[in-house]
Amino acid sequence: MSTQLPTDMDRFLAPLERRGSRFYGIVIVTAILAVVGIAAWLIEVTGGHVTNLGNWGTSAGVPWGLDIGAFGWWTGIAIGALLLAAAIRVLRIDSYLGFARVGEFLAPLAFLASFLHILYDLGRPGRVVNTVLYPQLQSPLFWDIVLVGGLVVLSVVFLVVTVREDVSRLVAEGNLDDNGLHGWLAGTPAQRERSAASRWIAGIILAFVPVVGGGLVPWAWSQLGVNMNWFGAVQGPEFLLMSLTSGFAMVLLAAGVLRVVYGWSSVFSDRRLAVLGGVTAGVGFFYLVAALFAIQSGSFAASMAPSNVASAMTAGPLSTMMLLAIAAIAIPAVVLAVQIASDTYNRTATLLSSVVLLVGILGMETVLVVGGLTYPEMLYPVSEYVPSLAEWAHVIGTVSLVVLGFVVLSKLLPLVPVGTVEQAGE
Amino acid sequence: MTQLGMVIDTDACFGCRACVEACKVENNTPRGAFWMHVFRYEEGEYPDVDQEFMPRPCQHCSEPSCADVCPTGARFKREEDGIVLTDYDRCIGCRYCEVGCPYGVNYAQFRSPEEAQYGFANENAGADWYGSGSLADEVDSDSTPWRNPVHDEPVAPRQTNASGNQPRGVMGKCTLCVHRQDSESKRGTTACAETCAADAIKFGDMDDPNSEPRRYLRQNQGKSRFKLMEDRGTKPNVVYLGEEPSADARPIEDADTFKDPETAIEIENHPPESVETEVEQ
Ligand code: SF4
Ligand code: SF4
Repeated sequence: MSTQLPTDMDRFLAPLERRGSRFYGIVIVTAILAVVGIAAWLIEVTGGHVTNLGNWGTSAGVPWGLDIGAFGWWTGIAIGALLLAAAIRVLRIDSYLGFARVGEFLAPLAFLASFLHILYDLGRPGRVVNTVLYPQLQSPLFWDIVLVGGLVVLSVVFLVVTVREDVSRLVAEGNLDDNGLHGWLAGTPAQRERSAASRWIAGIILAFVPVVGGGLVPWAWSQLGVNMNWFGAVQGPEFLLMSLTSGFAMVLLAAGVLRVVYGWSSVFSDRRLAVLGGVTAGVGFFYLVAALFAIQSGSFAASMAPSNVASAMTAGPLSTMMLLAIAAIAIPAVVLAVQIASDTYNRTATLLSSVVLLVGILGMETVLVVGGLTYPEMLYPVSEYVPSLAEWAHVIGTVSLVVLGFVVLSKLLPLVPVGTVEQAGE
Repeated sequence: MTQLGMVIDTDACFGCRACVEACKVENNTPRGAFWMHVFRYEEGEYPDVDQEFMPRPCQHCSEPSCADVCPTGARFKREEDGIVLTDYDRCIGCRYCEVGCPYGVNYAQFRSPEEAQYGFANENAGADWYGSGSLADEVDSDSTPWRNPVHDEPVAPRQTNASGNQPRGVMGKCTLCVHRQDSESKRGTTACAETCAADAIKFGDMDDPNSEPRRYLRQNQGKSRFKLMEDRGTKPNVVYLGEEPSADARPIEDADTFKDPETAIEIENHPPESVETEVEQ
């Protein structure tokens, strides 16, 4: 079967050879924006307030906002992309392997972005290692670190293993040179035989995420006295659904862009884009329901939110942002759902929908974080929250960093799995 | 077991906020941070309206949710006397404790401690109000004049920094004057209780029936008493005497009361020309 590949293969390996002005343009612009985000943070850490937020006494202001919203968002994107890739590998849906690779590229980069947002929020980032030196099993932040740390390792291993399978085949078949990075990845001819590892790692990922990310820990943890108030039980499922929606939407967006840029209509066909769009819309609706339940049960920091926080949020100053977020999730989800239901595919609508959906989720996650912190139970005034310029710079910075990483990776490693190319003709 | 805590008589308190000032001076806390804070609020409907006061230090909870959520163990409860402390050397400034505590007693420090001090950023402007030149010039000293060296002593049991104003990027809150508890001469006192003109704050061992706060509770058996947000399961160690603020209590403060340090610096650098002109306007 593999003997019929060469012409297709050349087309799909083209990104590895082509480095035109567009590539350098993207690299320069994204690198600058990423540096601006990091610089904004360095200025804050060295020159005053870390986030410009109301940090002085819990209920006098909102100590967390966009940075933590973006942390959850990036973690969600990473997890969703990783789960999608793992599921495609485990279930051997070979015609979607192209999407799997996009997810494999995205996941480690998105985890890096999420880690940066945590770091941005620390007053003493230099001491972050203290969380490892003095682990506290009862702290939610500790489990965030276990989750993200574990997934960073898994996602990098997953990327290396899956890419290695492709590279070793491509080298064996003479489509890639046996030197440099590709030679190292391909390993010795004897090693090239072993190739089922990716499915095992995918299986581990599929088990690890629901347990640590959304299930066991919040559940077990909410049984502990004080934490009953801290963690609404819906948080776990809400986080998992957010992950699926945002991860799928990001893969959809990246695949759609690749389709436009490289014209890979056989890999990211209209039909497949629409199917993934439909699935994204489906989980998006579930996410919306879970997010509204999360607001109802006291939003993020239930430990301070008064019992009427839901009505406060739906009627108070946050309501506009919340309604906008709901619209930005619901409308694109409807568009994507209609596309698959009616068999009409519009690439522009798909791309736009995924962008709006991603923005909506970021907004909703931020509202969820800010909400419970805005309405204190004690006699403090209701606080206001407007993200600082630095926070915006952080978000733009991490988005740029992920784009930069993706573009650079696409020049180093094959973007289209061999399995997809084999399927491409069907 | 010893569990230090307080009984605060809100009927005796008349809202002078001397405790707030005493705490700031004792612990050298920066602008905007009020380890002790006094809520002022109104109860009732016109014409039957009362103004009420409720001082609010850290409750030094027996089940401190702040320590539960701290990812590094920087926030911990000291076994020997139940004070909830922040290990300044270990804190990463993540502010989880701030989010985890329902009482709003945690204050993050995002400037260098000296910059955060009142009057520090003000070099020349407003000389008539604050005096000119730097604070160091004023007190003729190279050391940090705003910080009592007693706070630099390592604190048991970890022998790390945990007393007084915290360094930049680190969380701080009431320590029940831990430096006093660890000293020979001032053990059993806090700055706020010592200063209170109405003697509304009784400080001592809540586990000892003969301690001052426990005796005071016995003497006032007829009075209503409450602990703040007991339903949260934090088991606070501050007992209030008097009526609990009702659900309809109207805070007198608006958001400006919790002055952002940036705003405070702005005002210090550009003060109104004189107090009188402001009053006249
Ligand atoms: S009042 Fe807040 S900061 Fe103080 S011990 Fe209790 S939970 Fe911790
Ligand atoms: S800010 Fe410091 S004391 Fe508070 S939770 Fe984070 S590490 Fe612990």
